[in-house]
Amino acid sequence: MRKSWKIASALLLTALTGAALIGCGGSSETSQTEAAATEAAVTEAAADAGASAETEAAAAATDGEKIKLTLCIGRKNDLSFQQSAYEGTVRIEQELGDKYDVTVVEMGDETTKWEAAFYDAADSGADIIVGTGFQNKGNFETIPLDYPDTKFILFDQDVDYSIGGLDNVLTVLFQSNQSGYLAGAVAAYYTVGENAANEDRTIGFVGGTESTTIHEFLVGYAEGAKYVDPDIKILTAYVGDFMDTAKAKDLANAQISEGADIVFQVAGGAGNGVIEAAAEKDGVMAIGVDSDQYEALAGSNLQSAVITSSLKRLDNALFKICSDYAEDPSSVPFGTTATYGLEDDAVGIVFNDNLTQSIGEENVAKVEELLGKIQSGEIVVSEAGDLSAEEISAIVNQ
Amino acid sequence: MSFLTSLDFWFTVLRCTTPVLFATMAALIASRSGVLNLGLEGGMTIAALCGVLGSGFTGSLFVGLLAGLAGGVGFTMLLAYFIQHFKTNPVISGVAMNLAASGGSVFCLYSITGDKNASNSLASLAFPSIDLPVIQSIPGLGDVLSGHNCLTYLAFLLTVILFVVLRSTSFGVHVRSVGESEEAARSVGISVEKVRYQAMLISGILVSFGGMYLSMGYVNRFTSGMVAGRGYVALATNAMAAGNALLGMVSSILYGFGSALSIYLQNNNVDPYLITIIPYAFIIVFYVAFIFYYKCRKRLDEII
Repeated sequence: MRKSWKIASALLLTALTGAALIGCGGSSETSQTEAAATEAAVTEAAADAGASAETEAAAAATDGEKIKLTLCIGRKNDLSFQQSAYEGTVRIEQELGDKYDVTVVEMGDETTKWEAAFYDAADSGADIIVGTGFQNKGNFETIPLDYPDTKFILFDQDVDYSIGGLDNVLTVLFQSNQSGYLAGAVAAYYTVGENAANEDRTIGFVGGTESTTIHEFLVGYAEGAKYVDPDIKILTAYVGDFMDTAKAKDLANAQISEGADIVFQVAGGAGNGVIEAAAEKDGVMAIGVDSDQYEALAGSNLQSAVITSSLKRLDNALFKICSDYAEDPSSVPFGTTATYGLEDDAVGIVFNDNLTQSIGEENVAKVEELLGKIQSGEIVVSEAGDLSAEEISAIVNQ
Repeated sequence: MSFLTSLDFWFTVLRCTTPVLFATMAALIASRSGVLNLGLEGGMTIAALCGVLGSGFTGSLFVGLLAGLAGGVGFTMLLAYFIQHFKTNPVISGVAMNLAASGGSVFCLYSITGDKNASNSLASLAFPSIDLPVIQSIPGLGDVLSGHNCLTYLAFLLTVILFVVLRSTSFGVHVRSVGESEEAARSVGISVEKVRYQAMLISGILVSFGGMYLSMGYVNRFTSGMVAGRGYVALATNAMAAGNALLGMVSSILYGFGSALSIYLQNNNVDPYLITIIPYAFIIVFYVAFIFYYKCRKRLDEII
């Protein structure tokens, strides 16, 4: 009896650890045709190992064989940009389903395990492997060297091409400074408007970590706000990670107590804390990030506190790249960094009733006008990548 | 540094202290009984999740409280069972359980609600904030001490109770003697296993409150990874306390002060990377200072 208890307990412990692995390691969604396709890809690769992937892919497309596209993300419903990438693959499946065979791998939050997931994807014979985020910089500088015939696309982070051999890597950057600019303009119109909690012309910004990606938002935000009213003061704070919701809420509350009545959160999941802080105070709003957080929070008591969201449309960018690649592989500039902005509809902000109610129709029209000016190149927003830390803080604090 | 005189700042100190204080007390009672409870982080995560699920689905805060307690206590008792019954290494089983909790919580959240990152689709409840009757009207002090979440007051109350229990009840003496010397305790007929299970039960209750404060107190939802290392910080604050619950309160407040500092300094244009390490640097510096103090005291005792 005692022995069977021991065995049962040991099994339970194993099961618990297993649950951890499932949760962290992520599950993979595989279409039914995958097994067959893998075999085909393997024989094909063995047969003409010398042939480049481009001709292979082109041949595959004409032969009616599908291009194997694998998206490796932390998790697909983070209500943020990984979700946007996932939505891109859904659209590809729907509209380019005859050309693409899509696999989505969820790798979990533990970024140390991501490297293995990319190796797995490459070994499984994928033609194109897609990753997101600054956490993958190292992975995309090493793994592609081992798989010269596989194409790699990294969103939202560039790699150091000078190390050589990365001709199969495309990095895609978003001009989040442009969407940040529009968010800044919205914030400025709100804080000077009548719905704001106080008279102070102060707006807040809560970022995840202090990095160039986050600074792009900040620089645009500051410039946009100062375009509307040069006297606006911007408070900045960083959570230090993208998970600590309580700390993000504390940071937002500290900014609100210093007079901020609108806070732009660029802090992933932790950003929920910022939205919650805004929702608890009358006249305080939050700006969401990466996907439409007003929609994402439908049914929640936080929804009305989201004035707008700065969008990073990974879905549009991924779809555009993949449709170009299916037409003509050489039209996609692998081996370089491509930038997508307002012109390509790859970034933007949400225009909805909540925004109109908060800042008024007139000001919405002014924001739309700004959008047009950026698209036409009349307004050029500074890019954080080109600026030193001092220059960035000068823009924010001037 | 003008914020040091602001009442909001000191209010934030107490708020940041609360979850770590619960966890510190949980670590303290376990370590006094001679068990290393490394599962604080996981226990808090599970309790935070169970509380949100319980209150979200039933619409009752009381059920949420029970669910949170069941989750946290169950988790801690399971760990105690592994350590006590199977004599597993407490570090290894603790780490394994924490990993299971970090992945398992996301897994459960997703299977039950369909959310992966945060329990946004669930309208879960939060414990109410309380205005203290008399203190509330004292200017200054009232602004800092009154209006906190009821769990904050519970944390400080339980700390004092724990101090008294450990010091002057027979149960407290049993716990301490089991922790000091297992053999000696056994020789006078104390059931070591029973006392340790009891200590871990209390530890589990405290851990549950710490977790629930995060998801049902200050923030009103569960976000994966929201415990953010507070369970590990508690191991350090407990080490500083050297088994004294009141000292544990002091070390937790030190951490809370560091955290609040790292929040308020951000509005003052100090390098954020430097700021982020403040609470942890605080802990390390004070821990070293405490250890040094204990050593000196011991040496003094020897001389005298």
